[in-house]
Amino acid sequence: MEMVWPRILGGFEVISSATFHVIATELVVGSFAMAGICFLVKTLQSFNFLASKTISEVTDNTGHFALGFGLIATPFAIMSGISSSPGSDISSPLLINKMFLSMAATGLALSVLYARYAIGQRVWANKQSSLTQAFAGLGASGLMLLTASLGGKFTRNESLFDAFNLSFDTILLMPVWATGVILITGVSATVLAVLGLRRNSAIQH
Amino acid sequence: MISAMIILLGFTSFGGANPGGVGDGNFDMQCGGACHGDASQNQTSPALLELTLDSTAYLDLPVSVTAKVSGIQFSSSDKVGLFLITDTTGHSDLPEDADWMVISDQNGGANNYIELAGSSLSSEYTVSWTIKPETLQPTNFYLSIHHGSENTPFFGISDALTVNPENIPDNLPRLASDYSPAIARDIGENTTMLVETLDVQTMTIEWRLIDGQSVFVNATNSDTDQYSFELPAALQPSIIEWRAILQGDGPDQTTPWFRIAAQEPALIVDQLQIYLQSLALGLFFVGLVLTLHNRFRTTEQLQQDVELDRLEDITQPDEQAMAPLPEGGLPPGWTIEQWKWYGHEYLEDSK
Repeated sequence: MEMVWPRILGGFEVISSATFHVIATELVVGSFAMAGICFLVKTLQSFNFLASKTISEVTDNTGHFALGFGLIATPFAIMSGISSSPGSDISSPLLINKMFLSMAATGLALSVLYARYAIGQRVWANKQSSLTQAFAGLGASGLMLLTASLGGKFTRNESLFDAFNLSFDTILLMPVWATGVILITGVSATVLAVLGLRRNSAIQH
Repeated sequence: MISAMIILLGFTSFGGANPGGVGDGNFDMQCGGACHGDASQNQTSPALLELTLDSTAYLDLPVSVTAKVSGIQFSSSDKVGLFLITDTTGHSDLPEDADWMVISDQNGGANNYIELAGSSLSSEYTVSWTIKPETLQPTNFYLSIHHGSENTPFFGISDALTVNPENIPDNLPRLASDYSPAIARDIGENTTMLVETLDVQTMTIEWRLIDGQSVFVNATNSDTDQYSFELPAALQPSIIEWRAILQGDGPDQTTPWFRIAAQEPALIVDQLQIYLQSLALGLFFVGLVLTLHNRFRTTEQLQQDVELDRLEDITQPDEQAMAPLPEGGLPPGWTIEQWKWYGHEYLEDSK
């Protein structure tokens, strides 16, 4: 089994990549689950349920902090997951779908955190913005939990989501040109949106 | 939330076993706690375990060990995990830790741990491993079993089977010491199997599907000390067992059963394409969410501007309320702005 950090502590093999993957995924799943609960509450608050200033502040801070912490642990989980898989590469439809889902979740989480940073608490100021933020946070949490669930499916052939009979034995692999279009669209949209948010932020200040 | 957790817990088994198994692999006896969630919950399995060596073990030549399991009943969906190990400490107990190589297992792999589907119709299971000694040291082999029943993890281990590998006698017809047969092939392709030998003059191959009838073919001597034979294409995932009957100047030898599994062709995808698409998906969602935020923020900004204009309008004097201009126009020195505000007072004073 491939080892990570083999040279630490004078050459002792400290920890296997599979064990490191378990540690990293537990951190990711725990953090994203906590964030998911907070964004669920924020979604309800967008529809005027659980309207409480204290709950609003607590879920806002906790949700974003948990999401940020989970996001930091995510690259470690992805890299150790790849290195601990049989053959140390992506060779199964389940693993490929895990990669797609985790990166989509990472993208959503990044956007949620940047929006909160750029807009501040006013991200919850109107219903549209509030729903966007809450649904993006929920989506990030849901996709990451689904990714973790597929890990259980891969190693133990069972997962919590078996009840939904989701099929991950096939992959939606786009042609390179389509990937390029999405990539360019994503980068352009991100740059324009960031510039727009910064301009609005400057006007506001 | 608490109710949801309680409902989910209601659907779980409270035992420490993983009913879906963990898949075949090279695992120590305790398999890092992966097979059974908590080894301290293990109960002693009622299974009777027996391990036997099928023939004399020679240094660097493959030999089979057969395991028989009896005395357990499963529900139809249960898995049985079986370990071939060389120690009972729970770690560093793989055959390779004792300088033995696993060449093939019952499921068409080359693992010391395999899983079988338990059957409510059967209480006896027979499996075998083909292994090869790379040392003349006597080695103890054990068969360990992990299974679940009634939401409880069970564990069992057999008595030791001591194997003393011997040096190869002169002129013994045998496989080459570095020969390692193919153990996997793709569905739908005929397979030419190559067998490397020493001191062999003729070779007969016996092959069969698991539990099927044997077919005998003569292997072709394709090169010095190299024979070949054909296996037919498989139409679905399946395992073929084969063994060679070797004849030469020394006593005839029969090799252990080797297994070759036919499986779906491995997924071949461009790794770079996967990474690129993943990155594209991530960036797409970043762009999507931020664009929405930007749009709603701009709308909010516009609404605020409109609101500001409205407030400014409120502070402006009403055009309708402006005093009518005198006949000669604005009084000398007045501006229209001043007239809007103070025209009424001028007219009052002029009366």
